[in-house]
Amino acid sequence: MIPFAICGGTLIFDESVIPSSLEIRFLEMSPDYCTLRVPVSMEKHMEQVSGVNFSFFCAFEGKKPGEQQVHLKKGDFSLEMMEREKYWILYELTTDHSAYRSCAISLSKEYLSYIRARLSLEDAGLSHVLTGTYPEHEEEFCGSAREQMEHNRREIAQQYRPETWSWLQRDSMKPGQLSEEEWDYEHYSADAVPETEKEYGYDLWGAGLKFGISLETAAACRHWLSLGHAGYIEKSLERLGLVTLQHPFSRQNYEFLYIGNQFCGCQRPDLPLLSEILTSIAGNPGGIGMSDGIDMPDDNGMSDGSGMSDGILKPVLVLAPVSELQVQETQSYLSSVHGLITQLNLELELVVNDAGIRNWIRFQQQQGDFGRFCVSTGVLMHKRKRDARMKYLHTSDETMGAAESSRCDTRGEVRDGRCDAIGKAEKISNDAIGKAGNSRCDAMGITGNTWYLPWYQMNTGTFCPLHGLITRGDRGAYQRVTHCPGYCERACLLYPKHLGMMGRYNSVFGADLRAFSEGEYFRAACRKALDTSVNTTATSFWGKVGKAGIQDAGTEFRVILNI
Amino acid sequence: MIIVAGLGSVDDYLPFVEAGAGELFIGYVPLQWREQAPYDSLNRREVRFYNVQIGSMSELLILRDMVRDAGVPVTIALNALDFTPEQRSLIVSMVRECADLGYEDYIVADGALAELLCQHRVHLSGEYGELNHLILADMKSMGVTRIIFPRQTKVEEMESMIQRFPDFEYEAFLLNEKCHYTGAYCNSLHCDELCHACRIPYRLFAEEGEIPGYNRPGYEEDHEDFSVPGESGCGLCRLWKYRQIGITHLKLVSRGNDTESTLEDLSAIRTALEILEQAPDEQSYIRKMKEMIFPDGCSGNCY
Repeated sequence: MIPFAICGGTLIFDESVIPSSLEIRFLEMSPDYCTLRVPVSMEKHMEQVSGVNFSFFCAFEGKKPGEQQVHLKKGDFSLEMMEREKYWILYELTTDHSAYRSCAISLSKEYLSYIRARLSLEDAGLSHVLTGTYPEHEEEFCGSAREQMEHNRREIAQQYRPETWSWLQRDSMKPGQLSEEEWDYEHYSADAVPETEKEYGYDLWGAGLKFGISLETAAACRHWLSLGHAGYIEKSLERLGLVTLQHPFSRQNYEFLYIGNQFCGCQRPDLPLLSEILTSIAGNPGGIGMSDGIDMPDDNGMSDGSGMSDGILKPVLVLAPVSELQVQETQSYLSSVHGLITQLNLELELVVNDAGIRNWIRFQQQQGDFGRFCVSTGVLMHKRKRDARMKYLHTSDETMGAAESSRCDTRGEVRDGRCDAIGKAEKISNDAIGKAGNSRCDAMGITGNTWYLPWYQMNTGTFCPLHGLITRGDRGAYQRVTHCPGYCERACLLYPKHLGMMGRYNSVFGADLRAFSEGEYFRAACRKALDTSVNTTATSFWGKVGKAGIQDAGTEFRVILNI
Repeated sequence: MIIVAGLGSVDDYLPFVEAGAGELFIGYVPLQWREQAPYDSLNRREVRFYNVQIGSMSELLILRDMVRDAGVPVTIALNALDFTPEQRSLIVSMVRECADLGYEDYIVADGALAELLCQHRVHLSGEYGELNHLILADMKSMGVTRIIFPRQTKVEEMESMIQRFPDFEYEAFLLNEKCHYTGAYCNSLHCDELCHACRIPYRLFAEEGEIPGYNRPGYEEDHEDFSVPGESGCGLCRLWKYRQIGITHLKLVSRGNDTESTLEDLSAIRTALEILEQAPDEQSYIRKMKEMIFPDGCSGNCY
């Protein structure tokens, strides 16, 4: 039987027949004939077949996937009943149509090549044959995590083009403000926001690009406390060589501090540690040693001190998915955290990766509790294809965009003409970037997307594969870990160098290094993310609210470095 | 407990039913979907080059006639992790067509799609990531009829959730394809051209001297090559507990497997269920089951 995904067809019947067409699959195929089967109930209509459509979808041997249609009309083919079974009737279709013959020969040749390759080659070899670009041998690894980071650093330095980043450093506007005038429409024309702007009078360009840093382990939290905010940022940026490169990222205000791990609950900061961090922030709203970005002189020897932010460091607590047996403890933890931030007179954004905890917090807020929390939905709740090997499947940004099509997380609610805050966050997709992110709103209804760089999540295991590998020699050891000594702070999984992947915590990540080197790529993503926020909001929610709602809404795009 | 098996070809329906399957699930990806979303799959079988989907509408019609005679229902899997709003609209019209043929049950992992299909019987796929009872509360209000626990759910966790919401049907994985990572959070490619991400070779790196197994090369195959049921994942020992806590359906992952292997798996599960009926206690069940099904030892690849 021919897999339907590579070759399917449709029988077209005379107009008097209902249904007028029937999707069919082929059992055998040669250049001269093919066989197909139809249910017994369709037998009476088979004399009235007026045409046959063939749909060949081929993607072999490195060719770009594509569809080829062949249409046979009456007279181009003959249909003969071959066999009758209890539930179907087998027909043979014969034809000498040249287009059909050509496609059938091509399909047969390519599919047989695939089968031969599949039976005789290992994974990398097969990928090499099928994609044409995947390395045939992939045994080259970095020797250590440090070496992998060094490799990434060199990649960025080699590809870095400072001339593509001038848009982020214009004197006439604040850093991070996007300029339509310099938009490279030739290469990045994609989705046009200006229509939305014109329709709703919304100043998209008033929206800003904001930066933050992520503390994903307890060790990172302690490191942050000892170095101070500016010191920690500088050290982090230099791991990718961004300070040495005088990269525009080194001139930004890192006003968001993401605390916690979206993937592994064991790395959630305990209350004493979290209290220490939040107390530091509350006591120093400008951030521990935080200045307006890293104090890097420009060409004139002056610092770029014109930050967008109000100079206040904004904490965000990040939570991993919560399993059933951890629910009670998590609820108790969140209650304690709310008590803590009430004492400190702080508000705290929560990034949750669990629909259940999200719903529970929403319920508490409806009961009048947890008023100082604002909930966003995290990376694991925004699902899309994310794989470091996608570059081997697609050859251009355009097809990459097609593959990484829009994803919107589940449901939201509109009540009384205004979106429920939490529901609205879910509706915003982070499809713009195609890698990682979460979406959020705050109590005022501000919505936005977040992009994590450079590491984007590909896979996560609720049973930690790293823990299983270290303790039992088995990544697939299904062992719930509640008290972990933090192996991931000292160990990781290294992957073939060409992939740039790393196994960190209980997850596998790819690395988006292009976002650091190509200014236009980064800009296109920022633009698309903001477009998507506004468009989604406009058509899904604000269309119901009316124009006033849009003018009230803000939108922002955050880049959070998880180096 | 009802055995739920994956069906990759209409030709396997009757043999699987005779072997003991009480329910079957299929993938159906129409031409219209392929033309409009060539890079996206409707379910978690994303390959194109071999037969895992049931195929065309003509196959669905043939299967409908078989189901009418044999009485064993078939569910359609639409459990890709999520869809765009446009794709959901396409799926809703596709489901309408299938429902007209008599297909009433759908496996779904996208919450918004589950809501749109609430007038049908929706089984919430393990790929949704229903890790706790707070999520189930939401599903109740959406009209979901069955919860399929993710593979990694421990029995104690299942028990806790079932006790809070006893009105759902509950399905648990029993045999095959124990994944390193959680399906709901697996965003990597499962295509023909590239291997699964969990098969990419890796090395464990640890700061020297700190952790045993420092820089051990290669990727491990931790389990020898057994040709026994459940060599890629087995939960047969759990059957006693499954029955005790209220699991109603047992999932056999089999779409894409060869027919013979699936028939052997079905036979093993039926044998295990027969032993379960007779066994006075859990230990006796496990001992007898291993004697009968794994006389030379099991794979040890336990869920």
